[in-house]
Amino acid sequence: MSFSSGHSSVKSFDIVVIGAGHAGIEACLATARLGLSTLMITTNLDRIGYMSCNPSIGGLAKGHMVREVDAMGGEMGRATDETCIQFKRLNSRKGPAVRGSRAQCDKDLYSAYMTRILDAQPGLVVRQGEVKALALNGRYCEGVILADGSKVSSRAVIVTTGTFMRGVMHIGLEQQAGGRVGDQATVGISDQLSALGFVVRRLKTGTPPRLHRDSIDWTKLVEQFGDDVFYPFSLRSDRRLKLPQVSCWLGYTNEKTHEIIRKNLDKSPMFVGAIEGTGPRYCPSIEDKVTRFAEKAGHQTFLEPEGLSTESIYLQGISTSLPAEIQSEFLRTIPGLEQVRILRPGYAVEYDFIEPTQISHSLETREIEGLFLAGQINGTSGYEEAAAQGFMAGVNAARRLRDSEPFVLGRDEAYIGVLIDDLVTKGTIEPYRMFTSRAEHRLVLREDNTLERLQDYASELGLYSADELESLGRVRAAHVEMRRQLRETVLVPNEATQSALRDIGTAVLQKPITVEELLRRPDIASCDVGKFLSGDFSDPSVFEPVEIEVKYAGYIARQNEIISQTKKLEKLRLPSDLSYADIRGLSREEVEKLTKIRPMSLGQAQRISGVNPSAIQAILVHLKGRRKIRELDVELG
Amino acid sequence: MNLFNGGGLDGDGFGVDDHATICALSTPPGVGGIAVLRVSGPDAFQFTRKVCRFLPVQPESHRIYFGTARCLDDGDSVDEVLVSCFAEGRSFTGEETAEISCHGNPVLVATLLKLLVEAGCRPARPGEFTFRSFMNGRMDLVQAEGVLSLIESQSRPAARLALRQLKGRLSEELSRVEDGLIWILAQLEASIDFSTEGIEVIPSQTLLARAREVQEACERLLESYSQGRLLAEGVQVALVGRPNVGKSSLLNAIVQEDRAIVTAVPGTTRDLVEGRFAVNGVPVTIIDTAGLRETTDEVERIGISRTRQALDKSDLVFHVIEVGRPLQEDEREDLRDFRSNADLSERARHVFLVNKVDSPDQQEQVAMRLAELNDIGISKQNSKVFEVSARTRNGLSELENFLKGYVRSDASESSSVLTQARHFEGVQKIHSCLMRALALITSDTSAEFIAFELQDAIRAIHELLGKELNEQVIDRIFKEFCLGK
Repeated sequence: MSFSSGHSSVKSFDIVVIGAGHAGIEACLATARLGLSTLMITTNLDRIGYMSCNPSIGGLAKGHMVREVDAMGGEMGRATDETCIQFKRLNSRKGPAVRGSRAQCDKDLYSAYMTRILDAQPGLVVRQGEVKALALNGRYCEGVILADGSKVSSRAVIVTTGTFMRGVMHIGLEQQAGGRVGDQATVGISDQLSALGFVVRRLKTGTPPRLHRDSIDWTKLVEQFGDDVFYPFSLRSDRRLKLPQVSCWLGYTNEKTHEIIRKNLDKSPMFVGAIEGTGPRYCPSIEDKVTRFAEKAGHQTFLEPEGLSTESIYLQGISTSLPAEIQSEFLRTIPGLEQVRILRPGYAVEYDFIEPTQISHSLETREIEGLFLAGQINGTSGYEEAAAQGFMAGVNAARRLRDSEPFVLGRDEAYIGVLIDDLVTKGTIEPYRMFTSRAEHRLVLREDNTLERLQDYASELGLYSADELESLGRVRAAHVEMRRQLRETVLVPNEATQSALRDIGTAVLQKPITVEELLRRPDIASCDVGKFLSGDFSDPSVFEPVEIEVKYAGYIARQNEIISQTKKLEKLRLPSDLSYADIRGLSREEVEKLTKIRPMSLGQAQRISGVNPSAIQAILVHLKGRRKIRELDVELG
Repeated sequence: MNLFNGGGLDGDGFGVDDHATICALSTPPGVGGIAVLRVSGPDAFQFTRKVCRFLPVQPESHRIYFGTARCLDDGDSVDEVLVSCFAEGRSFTGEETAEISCHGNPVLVATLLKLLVEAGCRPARPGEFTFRSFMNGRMDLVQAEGVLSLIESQSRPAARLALRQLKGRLSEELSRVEDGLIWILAQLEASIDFSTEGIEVIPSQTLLARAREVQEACERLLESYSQGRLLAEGVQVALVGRPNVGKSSLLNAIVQEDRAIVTAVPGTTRDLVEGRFAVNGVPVTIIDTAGLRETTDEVERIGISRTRQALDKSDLVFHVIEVGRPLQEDEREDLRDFRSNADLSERARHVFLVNKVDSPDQQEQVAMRLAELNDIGISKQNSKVFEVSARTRNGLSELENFLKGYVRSDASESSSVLTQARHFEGVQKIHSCLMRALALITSDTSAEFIAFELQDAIRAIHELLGKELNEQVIDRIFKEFCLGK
């Protein structure tokens, strides 16, 4: 299946996507589904949609993004639902805005599902090969040059190379080129981008060892079950799980483990300085944990099966780059792992990323037109962050080819909006992972209201079939109808009502109230009020958002009020030719940052780190003074 | 006091000609020992040198130069002056600045200002130096307001407060409140975003204790406001009572100068008459009102409506009645009004003066008046009632002691004091968010709602200081918790 060699084989596509990871898949599916001829190039056809690290998709804030991608027509949600082998709704005992769905998936089946979907996608060609360079014509990217020197022409290129750009793996003090065990690194593109003046820097990430299922004494570990209720990620999946469900197991390190790790720190590439890239603070290696939190007597680790038919067990929380024999030694101090066999040791990967302040909200680079970047190349970590960017890059590449305005989601509309705005506005110094605390408007960015937030875009983008759109429309119509009935159905304190209320176990009525008011009672759930409404609202995708909107109406209203205040600055567009050097009151650093990032709006300018509030004031005064924006007064209200 | 509306964004605001070099007299106008003119902007040195030719082309920062200021055209000498130079980034405004000290003669000052304008400067608008200082990031909003208050301070204690605000004491206090909030927020956010990582969750008792500390700090600030406002704005006292009960004489006795026209014809005081004096360094304005008597006289009617306004605005209301005359029906009604309409703080505003107690043998009359007051619910137990005489000054020292207690400025020495309505409202918002957060913590509500309240409080602090929320919370989480994927 490798790409045919020889200089004569010049081919032409609308779009070329480099990489077949979670970003690349969403990107090429989006462009192909939008009717553009698309070529996906990967160095390894057997690793399409491969889960290189943990065997799960979703999680806090990440589950949100999977649902958002799905609501607009992406694939990750369906793939996750199809291959889920354990489902959990995290933070289910906390409030509605911070619940997150997480599914453990069968890695092989996930990859197989994605391969199948790509195969079946009209307009998409998937080929094995290595891209050596981007084909540039001045400031335009016009395709790619392959390892054999042949050129593939295209009108836009989406780079989703993950950890592969100048990837180096570290196990102990040994180093090996590569982006993942078993796969070669890609070289060329990052050097080319560096030479063009892009700021390219190093990041580091790590992965824990994989253990053989049969070498573990499961009786010494605590079994962790999945939830009873499955809430599919995709609006298009049914609520039935396809695969048998499995458990995870919980274990702990102890002082003996820590002692061995401490004794061998001189063999850790991080600690002896062999790794220059910055690692994620939220995912420290066990070496880091033991040194930074020396007072902790034990660290938890979850043992997660990587699939139904594999022996491989993922050891969550114990990422390490110590030499293999040391890994084996310290693992054997953990109860249950006394006889453990390592299938593959943990290792660290260092790779190049492009400082993401060099791309705009459409994920197109500012310097080279037609060149889009998505996924870990932009400094993020995580499958979900990658898929979200891949999807947006695909959509925006297609829009660019059709001369449409870029598709940009607001920070008040989606976690994807927060993700991209953070990246292009603030950049990152460590692998960027989404948290709910990054979303300042999180009370309205919930998993339950994903459809409500993004439905209009779903129909506008054109990635759904008419049938699918219609079925989503029915769910939305049910929301509206349920809201209406709640508001308009009045309960009077007659015997029938009171006895129904007594059955539920809530106080009887003193005066007539609407069902909505009844639902506001803390001891009343949506299922309790169903009997007072006409029609069936028992589907969670219908009643959940409605119930939450009713119960938390006060907070949601306050959040919306704050959003409408911030919108004023968000709506204040900054002219792209604004000369920041001419604005009095800006420091040299501020001029430099504003000139580099070129914020779209005053709201975005405000989020650039190192740009002080006084600078925002200065820009405002400057604009006002020059009457650059006549509507300023109107917009500022 | 609003820097933005007052300055930056108005039609003739400061921002229109961004790069102008501005000049103004920085010391009070009038005759004095010396006067200081300030020149600020990119061409401050160049323009100043046109007037002060002795200045080198590149003067040293923080150095004083001595020489003669001369006219631009014929070089006529104007005055001997000292010029202090401050380089860009090292001055009050953050811009290149020259300060010219000349002799404190209004004619000289006017001449020098005219020459500076001829040299290329634009006369500064009120508050413009401070505005530029804020714009250049030399101070936060609260500090900038401190400068303006300092300039406007009416008393030594007020000036001391304004100076402390300028030095950032209030900003520091607010930042401490913010630190407390961020600490709590970091715990909450960690419990949300890292709930699966086996981190130790701080017990809600600890969160409650921290939240209460912050709440108490806010309460101290809020309590300081009545004090601070008095210091900053002074105290206003209104004198009310029926015509001819001796309000004007009383005013004169208190202020000890003949301000009001004192006659025996009712309704003489048709306009508001003011007297000023100081108690413990705090300015007190006492207003003699026209009385509340119904009248058909147009002039008096205007006077009466002014009286009503003065009453609403005043910190204290002195009700004056005459010892030798029984309370009239309309008087009773007026007084009853004050009793019935008032909540506790409103009641505390009202003070009752039984006037014309000129000699000790009037005790019987005094007792009758007190009994009448008692009938409508006013007694020495529940209100401030003084027996005074404008003529003999009898009882005035008790009244003065009461005023001293009222304006006591002891609190202002140690802790931060709120002096401005904007700050009071901001802290009030922080406080109410905290109260709600405390209730949510106590009722074990999900962390994201508590976090929402705290974020709203932090937003209020940032609004006060004029800054935006950044990544402090996330940074804090990583500092404090051991996390793993």
